[in-house]
Amino acid sequence: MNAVAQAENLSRFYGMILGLNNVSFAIRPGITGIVGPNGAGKTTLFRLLLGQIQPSSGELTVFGERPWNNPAVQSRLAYCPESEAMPAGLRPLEWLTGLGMISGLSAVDAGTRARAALARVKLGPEHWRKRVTAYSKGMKQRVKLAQCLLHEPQLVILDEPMNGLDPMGREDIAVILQQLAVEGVSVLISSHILHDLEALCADFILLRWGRIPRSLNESTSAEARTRWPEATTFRCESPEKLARFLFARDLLRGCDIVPDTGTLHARWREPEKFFASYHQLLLESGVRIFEVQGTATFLEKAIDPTVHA
Amino acid sequence: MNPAATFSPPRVVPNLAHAWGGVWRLTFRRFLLPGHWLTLAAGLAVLALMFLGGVHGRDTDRFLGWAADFYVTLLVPALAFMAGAGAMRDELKSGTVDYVLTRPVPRPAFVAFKFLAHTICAQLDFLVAFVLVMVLARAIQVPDLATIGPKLLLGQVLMITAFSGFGFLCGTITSRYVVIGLVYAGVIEAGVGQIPTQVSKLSMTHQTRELLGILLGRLTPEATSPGLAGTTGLILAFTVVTLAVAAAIFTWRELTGPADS
Repeated sequence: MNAVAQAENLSRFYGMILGLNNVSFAIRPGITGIVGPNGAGKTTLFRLLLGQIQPSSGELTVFGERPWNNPAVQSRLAYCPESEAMPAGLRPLEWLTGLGMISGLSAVDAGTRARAALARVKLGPEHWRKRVTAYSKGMKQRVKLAQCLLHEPQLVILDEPMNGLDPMGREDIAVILQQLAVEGVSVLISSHILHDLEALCADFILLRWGRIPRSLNESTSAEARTRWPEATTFRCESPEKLARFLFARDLLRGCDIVPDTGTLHARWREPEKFFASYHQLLLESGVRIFEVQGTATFLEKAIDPTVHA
Repeated sequence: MNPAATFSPPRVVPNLAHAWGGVWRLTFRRFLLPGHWLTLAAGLAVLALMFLGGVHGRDTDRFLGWAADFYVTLLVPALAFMAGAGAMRDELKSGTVDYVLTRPVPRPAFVAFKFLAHTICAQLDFLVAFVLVMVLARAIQVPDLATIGPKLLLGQVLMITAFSGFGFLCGTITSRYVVIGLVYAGVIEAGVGQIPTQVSKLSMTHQTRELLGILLGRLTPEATSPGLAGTTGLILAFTVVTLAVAAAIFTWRELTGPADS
């Protein structure tokens, strides 16, 4: 399948400051997550894809063309920035209609699509008389996503679209992104809410200090994601008894017990051995279990190896 | 890389006429904001005070001197420059960089559209100011306003056009456009423009002042005077050149986000 965007040895420096350093990747159709700590180079990557800045070296193509200052590429893209800055004094319908026209739609079509986009992000007509700068953070996120939908882009780039949204709002956005993927739209999304990304994305690009470390990206591969968690937390009646039971069967590499909360944090010697028959093992232990929880998501582990593994 | 890859065409084809409509809408809406009208009202109040301080009684010469030498060729260019440069700086903020300049409108076309939309709105604003000046002039019984008015209005329109363009250029170059404006005003308008040779034609305000002087009968035309068409052409050429340079700079400028602006 064609990669919608491809980079080879792509670098971008701001004078002496590193933006991206010799990264290579391919963004395939579907939903791709971009993950990395602040300053990892996510926004630099987005601006390169959007054609707003030029690479310092290396090659980048989006839809087979170099994106720098290229309206042919921009006509297929949409961008939802992290920034909440919005033009002062405009109501959502006015703003979206203007933006739709700039994308090439007639005034009538732009107005129609603006209404449809606002409805799709569940921003009802009762909110349309308010100016966008007066919106709450969650409403701003919705209208920012709506402006991405006007011209039926083929690649939507979203920078932290879940920020400021309540769980229902995040679910709404996730559903829209999944629908877009089904419709054949590629989505590139960055978010600090890793659980949402894990649930949403088929592919990941992990960035750290402007690089894409091979080991990090291998740890987020589809194969890696099917592995059992390397640690598990149990809230139970007697964590000491459960620990003794698991140690006796040579399942544990180590553990931490928090008596106040009745918690056992178990680090597995061979996770697959425990998970192959965990129902049976927990019944045999004779300990009443209240809660079982994987300790860290694979993305959390990939980003920060110091989290409990 | 995958050079043989083929992709379906964009679902919405870019259209410059529609893009102009979008830029116009987004620009014009801002001119309808209550805050804008409040600023305009305050500006008009200050203008009225300036008028009353600069023009006394039924003195046509004094009115013409104030209107041609101060209002049209000093106050209007200065304000048009500030508004033009400010408008361009606004376009380098997140609200435009992230939402407008990620859309498929060529940047030179965007600069041209923005200039047109901004200048039309600025002309409307200054038209309100001009009407106030005429009303005040009528109130103090300045005679022959029906003849004087259109000529002053022509000068105002030319000055707004030229200095909006120059403001666009300076706003594209730097956020410290006031410094460039002051240097330009000092060197070209106050310096070169006062030298009684052909070189003074580099000064747009000098051109307009001379044109108004001739049209209003305050100056005798010289053999080298470019006349109405010539002055208009020169000022429009100045505008086109400044805009072309602004568009070229804007096209090659990297948009690294709000921190850059």
